[in-house]
Amino acid sequence: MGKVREVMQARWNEPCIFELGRKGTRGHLVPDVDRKIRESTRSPSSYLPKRLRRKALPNLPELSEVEVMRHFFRLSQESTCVDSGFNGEGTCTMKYNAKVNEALAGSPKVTKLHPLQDFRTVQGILEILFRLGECLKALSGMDAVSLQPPSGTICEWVECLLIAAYHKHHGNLDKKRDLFVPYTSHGTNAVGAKMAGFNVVTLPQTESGNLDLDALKSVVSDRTAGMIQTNPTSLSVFDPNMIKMADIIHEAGGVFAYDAANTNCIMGKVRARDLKADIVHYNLHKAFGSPHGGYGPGAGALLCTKEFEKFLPVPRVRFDGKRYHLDFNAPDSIGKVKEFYGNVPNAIRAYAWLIALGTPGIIEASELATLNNNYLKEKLRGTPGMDIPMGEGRRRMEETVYSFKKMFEETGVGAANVALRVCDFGINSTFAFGYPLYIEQPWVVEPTESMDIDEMDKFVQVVRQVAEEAYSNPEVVKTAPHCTTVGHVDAARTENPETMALTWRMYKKKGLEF
Amino acid sequence: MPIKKSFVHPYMPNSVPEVKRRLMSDIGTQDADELFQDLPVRSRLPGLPGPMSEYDLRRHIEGILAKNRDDLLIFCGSGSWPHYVPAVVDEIVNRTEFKTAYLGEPEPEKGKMQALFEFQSLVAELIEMDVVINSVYSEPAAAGEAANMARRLTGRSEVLVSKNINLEKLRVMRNYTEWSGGKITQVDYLPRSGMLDLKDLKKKLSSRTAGVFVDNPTYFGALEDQVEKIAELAHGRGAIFIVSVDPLSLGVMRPPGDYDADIVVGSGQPLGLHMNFGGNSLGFFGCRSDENYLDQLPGYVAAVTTTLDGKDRAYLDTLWEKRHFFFQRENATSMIGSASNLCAIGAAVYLSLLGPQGMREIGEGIFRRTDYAMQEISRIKRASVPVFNGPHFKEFVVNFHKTGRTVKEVNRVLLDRHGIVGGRDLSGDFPELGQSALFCVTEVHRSEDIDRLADAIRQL
Repeated sequence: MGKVREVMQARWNEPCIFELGRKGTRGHLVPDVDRKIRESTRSPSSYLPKRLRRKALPNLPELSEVEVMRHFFRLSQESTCVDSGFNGEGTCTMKYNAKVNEALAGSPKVTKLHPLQDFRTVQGILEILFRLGECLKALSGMDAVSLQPPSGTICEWVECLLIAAYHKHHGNLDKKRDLFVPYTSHGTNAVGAKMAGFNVVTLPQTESGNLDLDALKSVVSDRTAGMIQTNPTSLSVFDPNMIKMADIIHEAGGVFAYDAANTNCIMGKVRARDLKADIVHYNLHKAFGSPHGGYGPGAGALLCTKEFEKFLPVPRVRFDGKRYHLDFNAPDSIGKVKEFYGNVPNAIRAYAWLIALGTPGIIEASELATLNNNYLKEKLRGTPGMDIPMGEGRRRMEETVYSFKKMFEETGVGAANVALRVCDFGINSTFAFGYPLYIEQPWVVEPTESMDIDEMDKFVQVVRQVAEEAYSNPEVVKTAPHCTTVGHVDAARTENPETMALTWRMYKKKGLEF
Repeated sequence: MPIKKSFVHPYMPNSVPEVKRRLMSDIGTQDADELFQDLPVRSRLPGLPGPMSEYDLRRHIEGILAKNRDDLLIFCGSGSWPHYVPAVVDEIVNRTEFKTAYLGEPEPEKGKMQALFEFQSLVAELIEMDVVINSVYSEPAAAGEAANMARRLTGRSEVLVSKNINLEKLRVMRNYTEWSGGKITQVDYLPRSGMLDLKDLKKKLSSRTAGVFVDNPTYFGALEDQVEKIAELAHGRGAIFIVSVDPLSLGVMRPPGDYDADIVVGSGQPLGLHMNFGGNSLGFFGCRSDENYLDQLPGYVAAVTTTLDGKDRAYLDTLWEKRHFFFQRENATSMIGSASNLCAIGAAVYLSLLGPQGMREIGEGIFRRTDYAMQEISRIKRASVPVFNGPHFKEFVVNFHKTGRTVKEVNRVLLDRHGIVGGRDLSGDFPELGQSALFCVTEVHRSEDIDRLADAIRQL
């Protein structure tokens, strides 16, 4: 096989929008104030007191419609996406997003609906939210669902809020202060626990990658509020002791919460309920086929057992056999974690994705996500300078944490360099970061079920080629990327107070010129 | 039990049995199920609907969605407003490069990073603050983050929040702050003007006050005319002054940066985003550029820089280590992950299209339509307008006491007989206002639409 060739990304040298256009240019004509209104009202500048009026027009750029279109079109071309090529960003489950989902979520029957319209006029939306909830209940084995959280991070926090609400309800919140968060979990689990007011107790793992059960047993006490467990863990092994952990926590009167953001490999294989979780969440923008949007809008789904249902955010979607409605009557509810009902267009996408696949498709997706990942792992094994730390001999689930520690020591080329160099070959993104933080030079890759075998083989070839370069010509990797829209970016400049510019306004005020 | 039957699906290239077998054999297994040996239990199959072909799927879902009414004349705002979305905004946010993307390395994502920097920069000009971060989920989330940032900045626990805000937002803010030891105390508003009661504010300000939060315009649409005084009072006690604004008011109204606000938040939904039944919205968050603020930012923030060789301009997300949960875990200042960046790009397109003149005109147009609607409804004997004195922007309260009907009944008639979505019922959240509703008019309403509403109310 010959060498993989580099791929040139589009490069427009597109200026900042504040440098474009010219005075007096218009990009959009706002709707005219019609004559009747004009004749019976005055301009606000004639009656607003000076202290409420803007002195000068806002300093926004002035462009024509075509210039705005071209500018953002060019910026889109100076970007990558799942449709342009493989995005292996570990932990992010960047799978293909079916186009039919976009057509459905973009329908005026969705986009033009006001959230406070009478429920009789939004029966279709409520029905889809209800049906999606039923599907998620079937997948998780749980009794109740809320689609209100707009993201996975918010779900993690709300899981912790439900734990707090539960103990508060039982008059124990003063005593139940400790929430256990394994070190192999998402960092956001710890933030969520803290934001819910708990004392965060971080638990270590053993060399196998599993939670250290002895460590858990040693900290459990009558102060134990509960635990939030990511599984598959951020080491991408499935911790087989899940039920044991749940038992230990339940024994101590605690709540066992489950972060199933990494669920893409176990859907249809095991239900959260059967793992003895009390509460669980999924990210609809990851496993369930809603696009990521370059950091949102995503969508979360929070599920729980009957015991916790009364604490869920309001309103809940109900069906009385004839009509769907929103139920606000929940005196023990934690209230609202977002206004209205969650990211509804993404819920429609998730429902479309689920039923396009059905039960056999969901299981196939889990198997292929896992199989693809283990295939990549086996093919990448033995790449010079690369190791697969911890969990020796174990299968990985939906992603693999690799380490370039050896390569870094031998050549000075680290994981961050590799992650940038692979971009030169049309690999959009991989993740040069990993948990737990003590894995040196980590690199996390998640293929998902969308990656075809040829693309996987090409990816392996690219990585091996880059590893060879690291030993034969390290400079080419260290100075990468070479074929992306711009070359290696200077991060230090943005952290120096003198040259930091977080807005164009700041850039101009500081008199910067770069 | 694993499904053994072959199932080739268009979303999954390796679902071809031969390919799957090759994958398995290359990793040394005969049975895909072996990969799941760490699962301590196996569950029964979930029994989902489907699988379906694309056509059947579309027919099924479109059939359900057809039950929604998108032909109604909407006069309701209260957190999600009927605005016009320019075609270019939809065109850009539907570009797959933005939509199906992650935000990975800054080098191949230069365009996306730049678009986010431009979002920050455009909003910064509108509100006249030096720092604006990437997207936030929505305005209530931004308000909650602002309250928490004020707590971190001051080391104090109590946030004073004006009673003239949307209670839905207040409920979100309470969850953001109160479980972690913060306290929200409400400050009265004046019954005639709807503005903050400064006497009550003075009474409640103390050395425990972390921040003072107000809406401008207020939830009731009336303008807050005392912002300078509120800023002075808050700052006099060492508290952070937080203002939530409607971005479309700011072509006309004074920007909060000009009246000494420390943190400014708002909804980005009016900036070219569809209502989406309240979903896929956007919040923005801006603040001062003082060093202690930069240490406490609640979310991602893009910066302009260059390539290492200094030749090209570049953009990237910065200030990670101090703030981010990757590094800081429970000590992170950020609970914002995948927020709403795609919508932020849409808002950037919107602000670029409208420009200074467009923002002035749309603001003026909404002021005049609001004025017109209030005038027209005030002619109706049985509907009381204004409930609050002074100029209003986009929203206003109508009291239906004299009709002898509840708002619920009024809205039912408006809908069933006239195809109108009436104002948000305030009788539950603001019992002191009796049977009142919050109506909304924007640039999408013409005089004939407003006349239709007035006629419908007249006929009650």
